[in-house]
Amino acid sequence: MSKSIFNSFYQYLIENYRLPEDNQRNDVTWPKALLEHKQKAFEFFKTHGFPSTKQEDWKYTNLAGPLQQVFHIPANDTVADLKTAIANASIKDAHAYHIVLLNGKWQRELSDPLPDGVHFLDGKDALHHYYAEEYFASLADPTGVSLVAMNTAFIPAFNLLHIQKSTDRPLHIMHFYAANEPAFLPERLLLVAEESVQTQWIDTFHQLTSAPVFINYVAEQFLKEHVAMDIFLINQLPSSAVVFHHSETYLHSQSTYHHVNFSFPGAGFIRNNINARMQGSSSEANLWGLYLSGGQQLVDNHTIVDHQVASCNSNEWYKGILQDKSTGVFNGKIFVEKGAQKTNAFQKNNAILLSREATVHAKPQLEIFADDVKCSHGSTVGQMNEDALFYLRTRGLSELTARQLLIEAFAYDILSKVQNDAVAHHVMQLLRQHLHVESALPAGA
Amino acid sequence: MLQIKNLQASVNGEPILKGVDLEVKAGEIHAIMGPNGSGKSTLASVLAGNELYEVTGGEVWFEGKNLLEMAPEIRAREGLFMAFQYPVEIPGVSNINFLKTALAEIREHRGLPPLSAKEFMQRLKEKQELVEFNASLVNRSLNEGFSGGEKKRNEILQLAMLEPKLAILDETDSGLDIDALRIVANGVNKLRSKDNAFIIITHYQRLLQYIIPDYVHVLYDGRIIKSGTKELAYELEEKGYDWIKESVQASLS
Repeated sequence: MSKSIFNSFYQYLIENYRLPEDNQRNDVTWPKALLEHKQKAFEFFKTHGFPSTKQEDWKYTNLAGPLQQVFHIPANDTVADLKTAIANASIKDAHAYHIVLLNGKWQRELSDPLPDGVHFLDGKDALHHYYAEEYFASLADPTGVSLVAMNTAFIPAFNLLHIQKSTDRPLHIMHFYAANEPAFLPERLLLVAEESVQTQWIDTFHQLTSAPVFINYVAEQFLKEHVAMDIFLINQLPSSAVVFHHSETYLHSQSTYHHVNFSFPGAGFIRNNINARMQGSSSEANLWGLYLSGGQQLVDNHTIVDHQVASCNSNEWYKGILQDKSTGVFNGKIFVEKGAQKTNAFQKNNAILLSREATVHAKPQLEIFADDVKCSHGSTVGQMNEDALFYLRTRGLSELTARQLLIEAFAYDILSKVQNDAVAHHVMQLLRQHLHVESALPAGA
Repeated sequence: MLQIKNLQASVNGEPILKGVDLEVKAGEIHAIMGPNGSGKSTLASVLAGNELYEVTGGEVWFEGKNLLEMAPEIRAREGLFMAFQYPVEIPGVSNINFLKTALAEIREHRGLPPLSAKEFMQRLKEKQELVEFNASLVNRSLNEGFSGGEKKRNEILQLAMLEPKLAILDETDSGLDIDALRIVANGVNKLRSKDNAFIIITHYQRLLQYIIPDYVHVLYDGRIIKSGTKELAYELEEKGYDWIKESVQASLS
């Protein structure tokens, strides 16, 4: 078996590839320097195709099934009624500035006016921004991930979020997807947060139609000195979605990055690559994650915490609650590079299996090339604590209530990392909505 | 209130209780003593409904109902309470929410309306004073980070909040220093009434200096081999368990 998959979807993509300059429907011209990135990315993707399970990073995550389908490059912009969708997606009491996207395209008239110092740019404004030439494809593409190359090659344009001032309220980017036939929907973001900016950003993903979609989302994020950035990623996509999500974050000195990643039963296939590169000293990266999986879902979280310089801290904690026949994959890489002395790097992952047919594959992977460091990792997979369950029942709590309480307690460790009560409450509601405790009862009970 | 008839139970196929008979009436305090491994904690666990213990024979009637047919939560709602020897730490479950939920379920079962938030907090405050457990429970997880003594006192607080008819204290005295022991005992003494009953399981006589039992039973090798009044506890303290084992063996031969 080859290390790559060259299937009919791949063939379709290769045959239908057009550079934006040749593309009739594209109304924006790409600067020459950026076109070169696209060209290179296409060549890379053409050579490497889709990764097969022969590749270590895809060992338990088989793309052959989800990509059996040919997802077409949409010929026209999709029209969808977003008013109701926005109301449903908004988070009560979060008082966030809404930035609305449909299939990666900014819906300016449906978005909120942004506060002073926050700029959301698309089309030629993004392509010709001074940061585009400097940063586009400079962070994600060098990782050599062929799905990132695919993104770079096929995106018609990208969005740029430029934050120059701290925000009084969170930003909420709502990513909506809609298609009437199986569609390949690549989307790209470039984020630059300027020195000393503090902000919270809610990033939610939704699908409005039921046709299968392959969402390929790549974000390159640059945090300058002293930035404090919280990102709450909430994946609410339904089973018709196949999701590849790659975020690559560059931390300048003394910046702090909190990334909290939530997913729920829905998207049939989720692969998240959440990477943080500490390139400035005294920076801190915290990666938290909670997934509740169900049905036949596969949820794969691959993370990289890369300590490139001395005196940085990182904390990582991923927790999974697996129901039904779902599969969870966790791979946490910590690199402590030569010279990255006085590093503190901690990692934990725990999974709880609520069904006999659920599976989890967890792999911490520490590569340490400095000698004065504190690093630790721990990994557990288990079932519900029967002693705790019995204890609660002897106080009059029904088995159902007791199980619910214990699962919520398990989730609490990650929910408590969300420094925004409205968002934490919203996530708890989603958890309750998607948790079917009955299925957790042992057979015969 | 409680009738145990020829109760037999085993763990992993090994018989532990080999025919226990016991009757507890309202207003009574019974102490069950015995050497390690005699089946004391097994008896408590079986009464509370722990499914790790298999009942292989006998009957247990609680207020005229078949206790063994009830799930643990139904036993609790019917008025049975067990204070655990090793209370479980449950991170992420708030003490207050847990108590509120437990009380609401028990009150509903008894046809009572739930307490308002204010009534609940008022009651919690009263009961905390009653059992002299003043640790702040707000914003703390159930038993998490509690010392051994705090955990035991939290059990007595739960007992006070839930107002069971019958409370079983499983080695509540183990791991307590003398001050904590006195506080726990005071709590129990204030909670006892003509309408409720207690079963106190203990290895040592010292708790019984503070909680005076009406009856003392000696459990040995899965059976109650001797019953008496509080004087029996003093005698055991003085002579140890060997004396009673020997007298049993002598009477058998």
